[in-house]
Amino acid sequence: MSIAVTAEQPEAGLSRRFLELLPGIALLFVIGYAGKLIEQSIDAYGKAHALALPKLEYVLWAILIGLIISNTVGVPRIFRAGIETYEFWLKVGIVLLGVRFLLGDVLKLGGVSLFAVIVELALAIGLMLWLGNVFKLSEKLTSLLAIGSSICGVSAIIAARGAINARDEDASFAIAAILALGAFGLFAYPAIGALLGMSDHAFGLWVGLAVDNTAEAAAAGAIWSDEAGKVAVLAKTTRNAMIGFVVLGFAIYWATRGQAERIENKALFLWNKFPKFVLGFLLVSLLATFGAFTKEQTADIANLSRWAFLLTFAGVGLRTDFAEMRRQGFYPFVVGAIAEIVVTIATLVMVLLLQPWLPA
Amino acid sequence: MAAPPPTRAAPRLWLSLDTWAVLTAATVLILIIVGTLPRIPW
Repeated sequence: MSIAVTAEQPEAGLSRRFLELLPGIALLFVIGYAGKLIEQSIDAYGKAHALALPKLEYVLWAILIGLIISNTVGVPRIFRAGIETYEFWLKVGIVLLGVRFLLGDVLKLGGVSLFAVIVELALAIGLMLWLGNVFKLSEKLTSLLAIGSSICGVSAIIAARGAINARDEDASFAIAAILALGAFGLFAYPAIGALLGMSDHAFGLWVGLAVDNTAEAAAAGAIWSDEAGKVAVLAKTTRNAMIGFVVLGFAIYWATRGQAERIENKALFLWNKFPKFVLGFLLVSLLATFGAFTKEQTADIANLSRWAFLLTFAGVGLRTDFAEMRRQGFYPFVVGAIAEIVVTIATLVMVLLLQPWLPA
Repeated sequence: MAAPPPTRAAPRLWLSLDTWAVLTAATVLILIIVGTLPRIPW
């Protein structure tokens, strides 16, 4: 989570800063790998005793271990800088994941996603603005919550904060609400999906549309299955790609009211806000489509992507601190939660209607 | 309303996170294509 609200540290030397990251990265690896070992042990135990144990993906274990550490003993300072790299691993994982999508799949699934994303955006923004008004939240906090819940949680809020001149406190409240709801969603969505007997593709599309933060969306999909994780990332990436348009819309609104700077070059603004790793993902997918990799290379790249996601998922649990969220005030959370529930139900209905157009 | 949480500066090393991610992925791809890396299990 790049909450770069405070001023940056003075130059501390690249190698020293790099060294400071290592303990946290090692912790991410240990927790992620422990999750994988637990999954394998349960599998092996089930096979050895001929028991049909439910298949729980390593993702769930990694997140649980992280949650337990961050909410009991807390994360020691030495690990914190490295844990913040989880977003870097997420992006590396997404770029490499491109190898598992032929461009045809991207266009087909992406097309369905794009349609669903546009409906979801309109719904989430409209609803959040209305709720903000009902609960008398400040208008800029409402704008931030609308952007966060419609697109991509934390990074969207960070991107918007500067563009609409929002207060740092508003950004912190909005971020806390989005993260708390994301943590809840990790456990709620797979349970609902199982109740409805959803397919991998339908479940992946649903969580990609409904879960706000990219890491949580990828994790919720991966808890369900590897394939669902893949689809969730694609749907979420489609949503992320829309970030510039939505932030631009809000920026223009606040500028016309004289409360944010006017944007002269809109194309440049859109380019600046566009998540560039999406281009990396598309490029790798393009290379895979044109057969640039052998079968073995494709397998290696896909596995590296899984390792990068393993580090990300360990970070998701570690940075979720419920005590800090409780201190964030009640109303932003209630507004976020109501909007989230409505968006969850609406996207679920949409995905069930779109099922005929999804690959089996 | 309660005070906002203390915010942490993201570890920013010269380039943006996206650029680092794409560069890292590109490096890994090149290493895999030229065969420098061993097979990667999962």
